[in-house]
Amino acid sequence: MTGVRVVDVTKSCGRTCALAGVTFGAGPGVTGLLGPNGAGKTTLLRMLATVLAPDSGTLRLLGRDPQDTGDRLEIRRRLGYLPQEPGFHRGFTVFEFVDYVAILKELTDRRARHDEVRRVIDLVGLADVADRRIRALSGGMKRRVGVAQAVLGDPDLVVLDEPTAGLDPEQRLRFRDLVSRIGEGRSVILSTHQTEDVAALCPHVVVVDGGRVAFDGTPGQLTSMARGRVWLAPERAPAARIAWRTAEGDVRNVGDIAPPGAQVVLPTLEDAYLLLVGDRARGVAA
Amino acid sequence: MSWHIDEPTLARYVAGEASAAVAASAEAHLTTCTDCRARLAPQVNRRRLDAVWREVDDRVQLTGRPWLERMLARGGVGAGPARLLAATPSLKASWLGSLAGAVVFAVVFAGASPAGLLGYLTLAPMLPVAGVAAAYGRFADPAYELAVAAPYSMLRLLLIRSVAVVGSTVVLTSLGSLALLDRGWTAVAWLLPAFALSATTLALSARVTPVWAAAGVLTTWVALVLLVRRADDADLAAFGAAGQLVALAVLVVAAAAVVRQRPAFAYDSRRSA
Repeated sequence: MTGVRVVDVTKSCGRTCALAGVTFGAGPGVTGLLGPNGAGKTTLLRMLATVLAPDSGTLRLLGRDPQDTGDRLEIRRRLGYLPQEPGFHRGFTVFEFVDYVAILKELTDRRARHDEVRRVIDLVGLADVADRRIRALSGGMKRRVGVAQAVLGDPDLVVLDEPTAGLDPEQRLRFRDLVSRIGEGRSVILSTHQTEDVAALCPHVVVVDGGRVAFDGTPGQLTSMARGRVWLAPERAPAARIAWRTAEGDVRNVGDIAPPGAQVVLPTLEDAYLLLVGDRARGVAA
Repeated sequence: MSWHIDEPTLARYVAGEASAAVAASAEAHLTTCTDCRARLAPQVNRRRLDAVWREVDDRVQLTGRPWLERMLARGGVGAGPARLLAATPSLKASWLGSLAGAVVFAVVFAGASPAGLLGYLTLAPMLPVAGVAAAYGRFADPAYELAVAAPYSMLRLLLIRSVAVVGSTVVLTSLGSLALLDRGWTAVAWLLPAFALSATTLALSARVTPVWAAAGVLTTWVALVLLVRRADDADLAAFGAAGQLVALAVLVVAAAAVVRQRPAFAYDSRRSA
């Protein structure tokens, strides 16, 4: 079996509850994990990457139980992981750093390992800077180094925590291309703040809010939840939960009920997401 | 292609028996002739080719490697472990330089008075503990999260780094102790406590981050030395025979605790989200 199955998983962080009974499943392809800051996305992804163990609930990765020592080892052999803030040994070159991770991934045959390192560096378009020290790379290039190490050994499950954070629009488009290629034939779990990334990449989306799953379905299903609840008006409507003035000068209102006579427009994924998580997503919409 | 390498020449080239001029000519031709490359491929000794590749790869890789990795490779350490060690913050030149400075300062201080010797003997076991704390874990290793999620055993990584750090620190501190040989065995009375404190730090790292483990161990160590000094009214009471026996017992218990807690090293030592 491929993919991920999470059933009623909980995790505490001190006195607060980071995850309060999360349940969802993900098969082959790219699954987008959306949610406001502090929703529990990173905690969830760290569990999917076998870095943290759940306090309770059932977690199955690639059909195996990560709490079992033997299963966990097998999962880690088939797992690729890009943390939210991947750290690098800045004195290493790109090749040396990816090789370092390849050693940790138990690619023991040196020739095969170096071939694999060159392959993934080439895959992310960094072949020309493979000998450059990481400290000399731009933020976008470092992100690509992070992705390169995540796809070492052709893993069956790839966990990417906010891979597009801090990237400029062109770099984000490159990333979409890269992630969509990675998602062909394997399970990719992608956490992001960007609804555009989900709309562009993910046939499956899970919205996490307050440590719980607020939505689990397709982007189309999520978008349809906002049908009839988004309208344009000259001013902010009192009934709107969230409203902002667009570049055209109208105010786009997102709320429970469009007032009579309002100019109702087709919702976007972002509208639906804002409706779902409300004020906690204001920072994302800005 | 108007010509091809004849069979006897190809066979001599494959066997490494062709003259330099003929070999160079054959290689120039092979780069452009797919027919000759196809005839050559089945005759190539795969094992020899792998050995040649490994040697080329070694030389290319060796030239640009960090100094520590080059030294370790020359010392016979495999390329994999050498790279894992080269990423250890407490094996960097800057760390070892600071360590050497601390040892020199402590030795000079030790020669000045009995209290100075107590200071030296108290400080010396703390240095490898600090090295262990800076060898591994979230605060020391920028790629720690990637290492935890990888199949390589975290305990194994922690141990090889700790052994390297403790070893290099002990060597440096021992060099300092040479200046205190006139004090007899007392000059090396820090050695057993150093191993005991380092092993205790490792054992506690299964439950808390190495930095917190080291902080707890070092605080307890200094408090114990001062308490024993006050109780016995003797500067070096903690480093006598009884103290050495206690250190040995702590070392054994801590080593057993590390072995017993092996599974706990598989996750992030911070544990929380």
